[in-house]
Amino acid sequence: VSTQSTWGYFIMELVLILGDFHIPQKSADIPDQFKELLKPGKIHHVLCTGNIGNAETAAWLETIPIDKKNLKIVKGDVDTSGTPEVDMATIGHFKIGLIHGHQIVPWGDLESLGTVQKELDCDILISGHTHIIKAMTIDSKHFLNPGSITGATSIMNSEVVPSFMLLSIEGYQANLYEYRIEGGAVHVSKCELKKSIEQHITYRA
Amino acid sequence: TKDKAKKEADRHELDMVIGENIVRLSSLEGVDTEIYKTDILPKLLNLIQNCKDPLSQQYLMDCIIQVFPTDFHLETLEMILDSMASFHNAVDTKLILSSIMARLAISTGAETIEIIATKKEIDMFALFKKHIDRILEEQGQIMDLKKLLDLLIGFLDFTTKAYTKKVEYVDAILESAGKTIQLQPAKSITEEVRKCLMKLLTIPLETFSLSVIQLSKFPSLMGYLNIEMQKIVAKQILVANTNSRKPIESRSVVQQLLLFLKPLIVGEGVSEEAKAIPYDYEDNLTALSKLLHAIVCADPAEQFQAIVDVKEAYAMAGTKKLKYLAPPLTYCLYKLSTRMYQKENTSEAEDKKTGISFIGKEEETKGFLIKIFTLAKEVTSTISSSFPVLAMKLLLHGVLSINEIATVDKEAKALATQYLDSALGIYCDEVVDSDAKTQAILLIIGTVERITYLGTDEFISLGQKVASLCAKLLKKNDQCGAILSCSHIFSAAEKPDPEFILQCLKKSYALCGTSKMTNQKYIVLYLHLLNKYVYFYERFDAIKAEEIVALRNEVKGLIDTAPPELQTFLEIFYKETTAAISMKSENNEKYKLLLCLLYTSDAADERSSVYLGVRRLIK
Repeated sequence: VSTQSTWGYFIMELVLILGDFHIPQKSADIPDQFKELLKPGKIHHVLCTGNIGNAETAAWLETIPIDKKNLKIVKGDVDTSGTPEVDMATIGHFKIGLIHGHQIVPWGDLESLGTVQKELDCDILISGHTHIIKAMTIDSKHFLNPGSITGATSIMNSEVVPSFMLLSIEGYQANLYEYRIEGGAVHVSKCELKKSIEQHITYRA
Repeated sequence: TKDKAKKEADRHELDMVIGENIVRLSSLEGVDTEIYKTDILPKLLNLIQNCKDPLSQQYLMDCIIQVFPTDFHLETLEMILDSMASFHNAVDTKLILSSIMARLAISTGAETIEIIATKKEIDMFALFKKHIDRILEEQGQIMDLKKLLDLLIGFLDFTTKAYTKKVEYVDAILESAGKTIQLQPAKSITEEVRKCLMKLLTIPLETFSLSVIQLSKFPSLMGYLNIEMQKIVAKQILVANTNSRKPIESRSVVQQLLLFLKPLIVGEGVSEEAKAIPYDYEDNLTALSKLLHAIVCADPAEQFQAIVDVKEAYAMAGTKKLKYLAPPLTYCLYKLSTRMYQKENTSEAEDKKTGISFIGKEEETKGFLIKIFTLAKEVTSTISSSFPVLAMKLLLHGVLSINEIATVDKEAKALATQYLDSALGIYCDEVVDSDAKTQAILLIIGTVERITYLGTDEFISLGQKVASLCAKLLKKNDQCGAILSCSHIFSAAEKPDPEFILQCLKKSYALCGTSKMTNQKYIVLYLHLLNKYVYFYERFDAIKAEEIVALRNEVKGLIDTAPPELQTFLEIFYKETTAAISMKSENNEKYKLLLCLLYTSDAADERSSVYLGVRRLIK
């Protein structure tokens, strides 16, 4: 809590949030337009909700973050090997929780996700499984779902577009960029995520 | 040898001198195509023919080809090729041909060589073919097969670069290759020769990708390769198709393609699987899987037939490979089904209650959909004994895929029930490992919660069936969590009866108590239970605020006596839970009441007043 008076001294970190590839079970490949955007060397952290589907894509994912240690993948319902069910990352002043989401019933239900957020004590909870890209903020707690980067068919039986999210975090401030492919073109939308200072003092002091 | 060395040196000097002269010739200003054609080249060719020395002839031809621009060569192609007939026998005309073709293949101008040639009415392909065919005839039986094939490789390279759309030219070259091989005895087909053949077969892929299946001579040439090479070629075809990003739009193309892919699908059988390199093995199967996603026909019925064809072909792959091939087959079928109907209510993407309208004639479409899902179920049954968990996941996904249709069609509903029964059957009989069961039951609960095709009574009894499965899990804390999730099934019914929800909550509560023995973190279960109580309290009057207060007090007590290393984490979870109640009470009467009761309870127990008050005080 002591050094937070000087705001300019935070470094900006880019966080890539994506998942639910399902290659090759439900999709052939990541859309070319997305592959173009996601080149190695630009992104600091990668948080993956799971369900990648094959070793080659997993290897590609490892090349994205500048430091391989900052790649976090959690276990989806299709994954079989040793990734954890839940993972955490602290980036800037945001504590981020990562879970695939098939474990939380009803699937996609905000309040049930809220209970997990309380248990993990995180400012941002990232989950997937529904393949529907969504960002919600309840009481300064953020719930992010990057959707499916390949636009794979969803159990929620609704239209799915290929999507992923990018967070740029600088200390207490974060900007969220949502990338979607609709009608063959990439659409980007931006919104701000705030970290509540009040909470920070209350619970961390 | 000293003499020989001197001779070499002399010759080399001579080469340089003459070479230089030719270079000077070519760089003279005013030397255009006409002059070259009528003056320069005929004289040069005359010189070459008259010198009667094979080495010189070779060298001089080479010089001419490299030095003069491709435009000149294009115009004089026929002249050059004809003159080669009169060269000394020892001259390797194949090399000369190869270098001409290599030069012509690289088009450096704005127009491709094909366009220029057509403008000048020069059929390069025919000219080359005439001469190459003649060489093959003359030398077919005596010359080394590899060298002949190398010539054809050069020709093919030129043809694919110069003529990007002429599939028939490529086929003609392949035909020549086939004939040449047949001229020689079988034992001359060495490893080297096979590699040449592989090159012949894979060069066209870059420009033609999937059109290679139109090459009638392709399969017979593939036949000369050994199995490993056939697989590599087949895989190249698949990769070329995936990279081209073009959908496969007709069933006939799929059928043709499957013939080419046979070596990749079937391989050599079980013995080969044992020594397969894991990465290659998975890679091949991944390529075969991606093929399915490329099949997009304008007519859904045609697409379905194409998928059936693929399924039949893949069925020959053997059970081990089906682990990789069955899921994409199934999901492609589910995806196809979504083309046949539209949901009418498009307000909320996750809204479970929607009306549907079918594409085309309703009865026909319904019948078609039943066909699709029946086939999908068949596919899952091929792996249900070897890979039960995978089959179960596919079936559960299928239940939700067929859900919409099952709400309006009886046959679909029966089929959906079959899907669900099979999935539950696998869960009960085939999934043995306790961790696997815990993972699987969550998927079952999540799926059942989203089912809308059952009437309330049927739905409730299904919920009870699932709840009883939860109660049979091995560990108490797993049972607790699962039954807690089950409560959502009962709340999802059309006319939910809170009695069942309460039953789940109470059962879960009892299990929390017994978990004390086995699980240090059992208090977390209490906190999840508390959150669920609040969730349902908000939605159902039958859940009483007093119960929540009592539970909360109990939880508080437990946290106070928890081991210190867990306390911080538990306290945070607890605080967040109660803070949420406080937040919601600003707009909601029920929460206000709950908050009141909580405060009252706190007042009676002074020690804990600080917990809830913090948020309010700072505001």
